[in-house]
Amino acid sequence: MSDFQDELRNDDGYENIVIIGVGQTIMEGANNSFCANSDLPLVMDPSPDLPIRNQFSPYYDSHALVILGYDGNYLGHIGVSNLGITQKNYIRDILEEHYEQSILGDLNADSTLNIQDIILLVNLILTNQQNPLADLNSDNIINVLDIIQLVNIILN
Amino acid sequence: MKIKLILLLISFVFCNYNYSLEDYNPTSPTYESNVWEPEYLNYITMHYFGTQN
Repeated sequence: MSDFQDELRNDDGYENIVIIGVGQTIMEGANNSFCANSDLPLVMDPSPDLPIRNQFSPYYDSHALVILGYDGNYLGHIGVSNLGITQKNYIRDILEEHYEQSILGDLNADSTLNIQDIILLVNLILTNQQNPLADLNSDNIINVLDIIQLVNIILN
Repeated sequence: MKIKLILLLISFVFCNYNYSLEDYNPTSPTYESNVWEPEYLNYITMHYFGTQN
C-alpha cells in the first residue's frame, strides 16, 4: 500500500492524498506486520467497541479501502486484498474526479486566502503541527516568517 | 415511524466521517501525531481496513 501511495504522489502528482491503516488494538500481530512493511500512518480502532469500523459501516471489510473527500464525505470503496490494475484504476478515477490542487497558504481549503488562514497558521505554529501548505517560504520550517508572507499575499 | 425513517435516510446520505487518533507506526512520518485530523486536513484520505477480527 505504501508503494501505491508513492505512485499516486510522485508519479501522478496527487500530493495531498494519504492512505491510513486502521488496525485493531487486540490484533497485535497484524499491527506489527503493517508497521514492519509500510511507512503509512496506522491508527488503532479500540476493541471491543470498534468505533471507527462502526462509523465506516457498511463500507469497511477485510482489506477494504474507503476513500473520503476533503470534508470527510464518502467517495468510494473497494477491496484491495489484490491491489491490481482494476483496483488502482478505480482509485485513480475517483482522484481524477475529486482531487483539487491546493493553494499554498489556504489552510481551511476554501480556495481563498484570508484572515481565517492566518489564524489557522498561528495555531499550527503554537501547537507545533506540520502542514505543507503552511510553509509559504519553502524553508521546511513553519514559523513567523510564513505568517509575514501570508499577510503580505493577502494585503497584495 | 416515517419521520424516523426519513431522518435516518438523511443522516446516511449526508454522513461525513472523521476521527483523530494517534499514529502508532514508528516508520510513518506522522508517528505519534494525531491523524487523520489534524495532520491530514485538506487531504483526500483513504482508510485501509486490514485483517478483521
